[in-house]
Amino acid sequence: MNRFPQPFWVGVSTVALSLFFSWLSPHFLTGENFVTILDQSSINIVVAVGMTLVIASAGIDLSVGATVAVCGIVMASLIKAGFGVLPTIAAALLTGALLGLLNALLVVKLEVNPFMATLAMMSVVGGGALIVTQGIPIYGFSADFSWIGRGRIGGLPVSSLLCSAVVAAGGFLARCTRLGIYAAAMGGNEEALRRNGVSTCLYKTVLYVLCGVCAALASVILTSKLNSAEPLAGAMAEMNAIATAVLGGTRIRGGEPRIAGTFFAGILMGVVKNGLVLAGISSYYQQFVTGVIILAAIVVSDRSEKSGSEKRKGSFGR
Amino acid sequence: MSALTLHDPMEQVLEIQALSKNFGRVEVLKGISLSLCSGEILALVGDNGAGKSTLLKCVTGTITPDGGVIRLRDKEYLSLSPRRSMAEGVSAVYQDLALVEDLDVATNLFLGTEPLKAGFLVDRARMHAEAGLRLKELGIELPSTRARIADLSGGQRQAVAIARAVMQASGKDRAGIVILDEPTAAMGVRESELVLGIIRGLRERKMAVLFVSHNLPQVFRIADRICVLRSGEMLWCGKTGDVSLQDVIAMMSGSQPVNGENTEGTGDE
Repeated sequence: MNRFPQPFWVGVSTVALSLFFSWLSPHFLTGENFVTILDQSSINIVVAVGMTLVIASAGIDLSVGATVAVCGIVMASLIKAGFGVLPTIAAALLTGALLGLLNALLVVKLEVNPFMATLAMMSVVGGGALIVTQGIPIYGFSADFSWIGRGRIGGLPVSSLLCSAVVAAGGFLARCTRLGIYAAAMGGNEEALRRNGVSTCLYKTVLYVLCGVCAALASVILTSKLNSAEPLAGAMAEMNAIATAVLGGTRIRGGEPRIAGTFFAGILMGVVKNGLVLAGISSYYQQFVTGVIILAAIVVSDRSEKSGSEKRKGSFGR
Repeated sequence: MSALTLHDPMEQVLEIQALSKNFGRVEVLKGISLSLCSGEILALVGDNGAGKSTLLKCVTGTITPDGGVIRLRDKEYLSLSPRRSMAEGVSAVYQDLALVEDLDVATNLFLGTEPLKAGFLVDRARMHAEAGLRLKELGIELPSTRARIADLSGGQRQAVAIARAVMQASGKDRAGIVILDEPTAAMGVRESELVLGIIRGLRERKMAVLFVSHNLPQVFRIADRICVLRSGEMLWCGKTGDVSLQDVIAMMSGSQPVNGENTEGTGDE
């Protein structure tokens, strides 16, 4: 079982589930539905790419859902104030980066446990979004802005193209730059990296900032898709992103960032949600099935890690 | 000349004079003096609490001494930072090896100094080629530079850690000092032999090796000189052939008064 990497099993599961859902619903296995799955999965995948990099470094960011909400509100406020699309998007990305920076400062400078630091930030930022909006959604944006979430280029949704660009950029960072190597090294042995003269504070900060930017970009897609900014828009985004990253093969305790795995896992989760809807299965089951998949992924990941560890023990006296 | 060979034979690369360190009221180092030359293996022995680790950490810059001088080649320091120590060509391999198990051999060897192309892209092809070359120079045989550390045996991992230390310590204007803390701890006979062979190879490459070990038979097999520490004092320091294993054990345990040549000893004598 462990001869193949986890993304392979994600791919196999995706194909198997696709066949299963196509048996349940004649509408599942069509080109248009596949495009729909890509479109629906794009927001989760974009958030999950940033999350993958942070998890690889043995960190976590529970505040991404709140960041999605706040960035939406920032954009809505600016558009309502008459700002153009590009400055609005830039402001959202900057907001995401600043929130990521704040997370990094808590983790790196104040040495707060990443789970607790970002859990607190989730409440602070999410609470801030509710206070500012008084819980009321802001809606009604220009057609230019809505095009990002609803438009198509060459038959493909803009959102899925943006998502592909983020996946490509994330994969490039993970595979071709020092940041990817150091993310894996921080997850595997941060002290080793420090002893080799690498500023782990700097690279950790960059990772959290990138995670914030990914959440902001997801917010751009979501807000334009919904044509409204809601203070609770990013609910469960963090959980889905963590599940996607782990399902894709990035170890929850840190290690090599598997961006391709994250992409395929995002598609798998999209297939499950879409397939259940088309099969007419209650939305309550969707959450249940997603939970089962996450559980299975974590068990597989954990067993794989233990098996590797036993193998290492066995080879020690080789 | 190979990239990992440097220095004239027996050039003095490290000199410690009257080094002292207190932790509160406890005197951990009491005026320690010693020297180390290129192409030499110097073993530091002593019971737990003798001050060996503190001495090593003063040289690697992780502990600031209270008194004394550390001279690296022609530069004199009252204290060193880890960065300065590394820049001067002092590199240490501690027992935890500081390797990243998820990463491959080449990436571990170049961790922090990865070769780049276009200013920001990690040049993996060059990294693997150079890693293979360096390992070959040191006589280290591994399945591949692409093998993950997690898939290597204990001895192979130690070999990678030593190779990395050698690479960091080598180079123009660098002291070429490799510090090894218990390099064969928890290893079987075959694995230990592999590591000892690599350490011997460092002498041939004119590296200066300062190593700590509790395994006295191994110390007697590979060290050129031995320094015995007890309770922060340098009891004896001299050539391996000038002392017996029993004498060293007796000095370490305090059951026998110090005799024989003490070439360096304490600075406050």
